[in-house]
Amino acid sequence: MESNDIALKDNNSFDNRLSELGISAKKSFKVKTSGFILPEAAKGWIALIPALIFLVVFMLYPIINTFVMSFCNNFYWVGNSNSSFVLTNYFAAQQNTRSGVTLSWGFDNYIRVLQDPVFKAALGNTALIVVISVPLTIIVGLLIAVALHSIKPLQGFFQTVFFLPYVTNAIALGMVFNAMFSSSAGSFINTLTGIFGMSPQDWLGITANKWSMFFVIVVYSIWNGIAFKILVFMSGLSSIDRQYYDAARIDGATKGTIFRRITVPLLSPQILYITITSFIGACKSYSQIISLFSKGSKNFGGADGNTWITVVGYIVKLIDSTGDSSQGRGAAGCVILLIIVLIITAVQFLISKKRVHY
Amino acid sequence: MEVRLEHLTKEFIGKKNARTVAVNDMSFVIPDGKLVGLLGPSGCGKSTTLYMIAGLHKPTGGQIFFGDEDVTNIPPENRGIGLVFQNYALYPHFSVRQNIEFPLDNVRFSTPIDDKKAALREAQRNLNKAINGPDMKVYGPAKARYDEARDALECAKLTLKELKTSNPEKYAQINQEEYLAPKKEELETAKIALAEAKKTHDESLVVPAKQEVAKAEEDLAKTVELMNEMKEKDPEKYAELMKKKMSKAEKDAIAEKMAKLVDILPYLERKPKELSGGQQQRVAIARALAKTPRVLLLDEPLSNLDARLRLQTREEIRRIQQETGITTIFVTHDQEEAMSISDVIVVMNFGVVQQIDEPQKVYDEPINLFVAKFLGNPAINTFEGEIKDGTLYISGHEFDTNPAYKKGRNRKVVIGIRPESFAYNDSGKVPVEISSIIRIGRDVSVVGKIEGQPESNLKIIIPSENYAALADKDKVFFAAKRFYVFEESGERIL
Amino acid sequence: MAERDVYFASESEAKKYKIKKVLSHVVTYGFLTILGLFIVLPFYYMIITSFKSTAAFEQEEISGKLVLFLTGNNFSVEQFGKVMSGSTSFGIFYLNTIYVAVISTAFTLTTTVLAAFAFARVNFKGKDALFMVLLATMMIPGEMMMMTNYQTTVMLNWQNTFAALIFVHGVSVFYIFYLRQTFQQIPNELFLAAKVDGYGHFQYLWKCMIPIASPTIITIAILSLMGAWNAYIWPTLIASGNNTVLANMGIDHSMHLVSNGLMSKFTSEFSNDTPARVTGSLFATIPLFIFFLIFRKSIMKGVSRSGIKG
Repeated sequence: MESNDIALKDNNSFDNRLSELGISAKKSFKVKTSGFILPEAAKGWIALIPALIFLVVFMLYPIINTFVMSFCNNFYWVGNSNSSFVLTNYFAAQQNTRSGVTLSWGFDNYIRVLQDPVFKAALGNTALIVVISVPLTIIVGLLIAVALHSIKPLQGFFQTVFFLPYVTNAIALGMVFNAMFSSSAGSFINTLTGIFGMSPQDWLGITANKWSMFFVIVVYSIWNGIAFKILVFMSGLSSIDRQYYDAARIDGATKGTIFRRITVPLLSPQILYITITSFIGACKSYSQIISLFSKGSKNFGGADGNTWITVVGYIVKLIDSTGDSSQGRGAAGCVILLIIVLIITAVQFLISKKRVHY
Repeated sequence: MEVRLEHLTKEFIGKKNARTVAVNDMSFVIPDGKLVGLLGPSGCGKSTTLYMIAGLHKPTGGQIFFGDEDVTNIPPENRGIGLVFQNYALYPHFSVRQNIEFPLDNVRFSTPIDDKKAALREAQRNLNKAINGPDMKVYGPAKARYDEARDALECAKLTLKELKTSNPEKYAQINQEEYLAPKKEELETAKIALAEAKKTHDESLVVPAKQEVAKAEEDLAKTVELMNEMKEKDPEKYAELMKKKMSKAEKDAIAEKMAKLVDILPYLERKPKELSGGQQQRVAIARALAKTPRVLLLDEPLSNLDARLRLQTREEIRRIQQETGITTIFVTHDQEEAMSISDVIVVMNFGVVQQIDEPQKVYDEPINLFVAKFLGNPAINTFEGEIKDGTLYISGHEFDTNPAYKKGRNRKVVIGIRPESFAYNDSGKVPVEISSIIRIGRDVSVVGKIEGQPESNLKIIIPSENYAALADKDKVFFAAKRFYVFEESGERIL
Repeated sequence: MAERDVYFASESEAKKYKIKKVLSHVVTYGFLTILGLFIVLPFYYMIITSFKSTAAFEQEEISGKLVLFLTGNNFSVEQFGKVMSGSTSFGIFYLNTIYVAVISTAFTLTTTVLAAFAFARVNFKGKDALFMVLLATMMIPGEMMMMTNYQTTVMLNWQNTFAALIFVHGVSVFYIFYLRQTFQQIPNELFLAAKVDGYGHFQYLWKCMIPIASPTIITIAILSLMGAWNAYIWPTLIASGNNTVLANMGIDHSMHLVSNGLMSKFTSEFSNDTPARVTGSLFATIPLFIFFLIFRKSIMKGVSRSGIKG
């Protein structure tokens, strides 16, 4: 009792003293704000700067530099840290490159690249891969997607199976294909073809026929590229309203007609997207080819290692080479690749304007 | 909290520097504890006004006061407002409870010691200002006089020096002492006056400022001492006073109290998308109220609800407002909504306030043609009329006489009669050609036309006992129990 | 097509319809099964070969009698020892790859979230112009930057360092673009509400935008992790020796990641040992496979979403 009284008294005295000091015992809300408020624009730039620094150094500057380099006729890169063709070295390089030669500018690199039989072969090979493997992959992918979409039991299972190549390492599986297609009589493929009475053959080795190599390349391209396409087509298909199918059925359309007249047109945005990306992707074919031949990152099959060289392969060969203006020629190759990609994109957009039904 | 807008203006600068005035020189007062509806057609600037009160739009001109405090330049989070958005803007990844508590998460209390420290800093700032920035009113004239005197003396000395070389004869004639004496004297006087002024200044400004600082220091010391003592003797009270953040329990208590108030207590742990539109609306209100705002703002609170919920929710808003007594401002384009729950309606158009009054008064006594037309459903009927020699004519028939018509010249005017203001009367002055009569419950709705008037969709609502008398008639006379006369420009004449 | 009620004129017609339906099912499932086998066979081959002894495998190859199953004669786990041993074992490749994948994904997410936020929600001069420039660069093939980046990296003395593998491709315009789209779909009112509730730009980003956009952010993380795991050209060019930094400290540590490590083993010690090579491939494949099996749903959803929007 007594102690309680004292506490009460104390409490009162605290209250009195608080009010004497002008302190209210009641709390009032206050929202935290810093005294200095950063202007919005500053916040924007702060958020952007980390990304921007890296984009400028490793993307914008390289694009410009590649153009510049491709027009420099005689830049010799010797591969050490002081001779890089970077901005600070432009002026030094102007006066004196490795051999004391003044830089000259022009189209020499382009002329040399375009006259190089290896580059011509690379262009032809790339074009073949693009023209044959892309349409095949798209058609097969579309058929699989439509078939998958039409079934109910096991749909999830098949979908997962067909997605597997997407999550596998393209290099690793290319090497597995290399083993499967090996030349020995007991290799996987030769065993399979043996069942049909074919004699064992060398598919990818030094003695192999160019077209048997190409066959393997196409098969692997389909295997490797089909997963993403099926996935995109599937999500496109599931976004098509069922009503269209019901309406078509009431109108008595057959399955084939439904596929040609309804599914494909309504899927045209996805088809266009996949076509553009696969064409561009195939123009840049490289990893799947070297992995198929499995002889290092600069071997493209055949006795000279150049049989199925591609445009990107040609560029890769020149990147860390220190030879006669090789960097300049590589840059010219890059610009040519860019032009090809841009042309493909432009052409497909023009076609799509007429064909795609959104 | 009374909300006062003074000459509030908002211009938006669009493409090619085209200016759009959303709100134009608006001034009005929203009384404390009232529910006020900002009413107007879409694009009239009502939402802009609300956002300016909230602090989300910065006015181009004018001021906003909450009570006596000028909040024009205070950021929204420090204005002590609650805002309910049209689409509620509930955080989708938070539960209802987290949504309501979110505004409280960032609340920081200041402790008595912090307050006293801040007061000391303020006092020190004032002292510095007093010392370094002399108040020119006290100090200025004396300083100017001193400077002038000093310059005059210097000038005189220079003149003498110059004379010495250019005109030695004249120089010899001049008694230097005598020549300079008055100037020196003036300088001395000015110096004394300056010292005096400085002393006065110090006494009137610096000394009190110093005293303030001393007082603040003492206060701080006392507070620290008191708090230390309290820490030992009454730790609970100490903790309460020194606490900086709201505890989870306190936040929960507030969330539950708010949920109870808006009747969503069972849904506290749900995510917003698991609630119906009406429930989401309530959560939004609860969130806005969590900080016990000085002013509650609602942007088109009912527009996303279906008709039945709308009726229910508007009653709910009315109830919550009355329970909390918080000054509430809501924006709507629906006149019925505004009429039914507001204490006061602010009718706006083209960024200008048309009329501010109680709902019934706005309806009964519209200040201009726009207000008359905007309120009422079915809308008011308007006719072309003419004032000729102090008499009002409608389609050439004499309609009314009134001293008010005698002012001004003869002119065309607009006459407005609300549908329910008609009465069936054979000697009435409004001849109507009837095109249809429909009996709806206790009313008869007549659609027709007055001869010689362009408007062919005249609407009349009269009690249904008149139905028999009207049926089968093509032309009937009505009397107007109440009518309004407007200038063609829209101003009300009568 | 889904089951539905169909009405027929006669019994025979109903029967015809049923047969047709069964046939179409047989064709569909047959087609899917054959192509499914085409997809799965390389995996099967990879697994059985990994479990064969080199001697038995070579015997099978030369004799032309490949055994498509594991038997008491050809079964062996010797390949795993080969793959996991030595200074260039898969253990080291794994460590390197996981390190690079995790750090570069964290780096990518940080820069991407901030930049996407700036482009989506903050107003400042030059924002739209800058964004257009970045979008335009998405048309340009990455090979174009490879050349100069190689030179820059050499100049920075970043050869055979993790920095070269983490930072050079750490910022992607596509991810920024993709996340910005998601951010822009978050209604502006939410930002205003947070402002009224006393939260600043970055607090709003952290407390609201990131949680709301988390599906997209997870997708970006998955794509970035997979990209790092499968990277080949760039690591081969810039980091196929021993770690420079560790070499200065006297430690020999191979910089190989999984893909280029595999290629280097293929062309050197395993060049004549097919089962060992295939086991290497298995090792390069398995971790991502497990990752996929765990996150199957979100990976498939994420990839298809990013595919359609990109």
